[in-house]
Amino acid sequence: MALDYALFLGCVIPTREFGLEVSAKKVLEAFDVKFHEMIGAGCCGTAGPIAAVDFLTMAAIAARNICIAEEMGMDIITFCTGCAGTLGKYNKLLKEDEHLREQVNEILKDINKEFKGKIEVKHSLDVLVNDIGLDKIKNSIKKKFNGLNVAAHIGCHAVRPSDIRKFDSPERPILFDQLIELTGAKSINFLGKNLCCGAGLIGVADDYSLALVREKLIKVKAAGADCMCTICAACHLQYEMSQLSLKTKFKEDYNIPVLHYYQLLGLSMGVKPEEIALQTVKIKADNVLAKLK
Amino acid sequence: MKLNPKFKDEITKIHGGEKIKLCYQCGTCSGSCPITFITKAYNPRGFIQMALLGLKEEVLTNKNIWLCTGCYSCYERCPQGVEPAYVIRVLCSLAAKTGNIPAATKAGAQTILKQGLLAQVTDFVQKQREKLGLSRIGQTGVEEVQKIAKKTGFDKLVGL
Ligand code: SF4
Ligand code: SF4
Repeated sequence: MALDYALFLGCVIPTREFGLEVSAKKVLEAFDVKFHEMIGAGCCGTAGPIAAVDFLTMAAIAARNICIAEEMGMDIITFCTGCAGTLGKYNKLLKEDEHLREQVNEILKDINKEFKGKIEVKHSLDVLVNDIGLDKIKNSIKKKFNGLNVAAHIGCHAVRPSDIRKFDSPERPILFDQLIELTGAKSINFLGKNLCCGAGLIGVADDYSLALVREKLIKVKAAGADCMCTICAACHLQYEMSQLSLKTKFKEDYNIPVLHYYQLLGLSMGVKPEEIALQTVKIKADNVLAKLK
Repeated sequence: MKLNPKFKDEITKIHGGEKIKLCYQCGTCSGSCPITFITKAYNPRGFIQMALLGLKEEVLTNKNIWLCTGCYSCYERCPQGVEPAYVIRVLCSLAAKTGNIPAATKAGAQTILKQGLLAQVTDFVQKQREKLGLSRIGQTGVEEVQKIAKKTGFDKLVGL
């Protein structure tokens, strides 16, 4: 039976993180997930420029997006943990808080929309673990990585705030590591593993953002990682671009390939590298491919 | 230095700020904060203390309050359930209403109001997508977003 979802892409994935969109679609479709385009969906409302400036505008913009999926009669799936957090939060608030719902629906009247509270918002991780399940994923593995040390970075919004994102422990998540190890790779420990990557400060305070991610890269390198693995578009962007700027600005070369989880899983499911857009990763992952047996 | 003892009541009336008065200044939030780790200029416990004391102008004009990455570590760990990440966000929104918005935040908001997305949909982007077998980016509902922003006054807040 197909799992039908309204696909919410957000901003970063369709304009910058093509590899994530290609690989997530390819891998999830192999498990019978069917994506339906949300026509007219835009930015989820995002924390910085909207939520921090005005709460009600934020709630209305999130609701507008949710309404599109409600009209389609489908739950939302998103590959972006930020969008999952934002849409998930306002979906919950608007369902529970009648006063807020009235306020928001008053605003939405002008665009002929009404929030009804009929759907759920899921991240693709929720779908992988809860709808598809680890057993089914395990059975789809055709090749295994041998001796591949992966530094996993799940990203803050996959697990926090934990009253919205109920995926795993907010402080000591393990499911993502288990997903990685299904491919035969080893998910290694490193200092500050669950610390923020700093992507939220890109364009806001670039120096601080770089300082934060540099701390992480140093620890990842010291732990002997062959590559990093992310689930979030913003984290992926941050780990790749920061390595490029640390190289040009400070002559520091970390040379750690950063793969989207769906690329790692896809490879071990026997999918060809170009079908999961492995050519789009900015730090060549030949060392990763070499360990696929 | 002017103290405004009613400032904390103003905060508790806004969504996310309700629990600020529960703060007992333990510093768990700042100790968990990745930004405080990088720069002591960002200190959520300190911002909350300023707000509780009624140092309204000082805290709202402090541009560092905008440095929160929204990692929610403080949110998970605050022993009093203050939800510091949300309190900081309330401080930012009050700052915005008095005209104190960092240029980058303003620019981001303006991009969303003009494009529907927090990104530029250029020809290059569309070509890259086609090359990878992805469909072109279509409607982003920008007119609807603009109508919402007009109705809430958000467009004026961010200088449009
Ligand atoms: S952790 Fe909570 S109680 Fe402690 S200083 Fe921060 S906000 Fe106040
Ligand atoms: S949510 Fe903001 S204030 Fe709280 S720990 Fe993270 S960066 Fe610091």
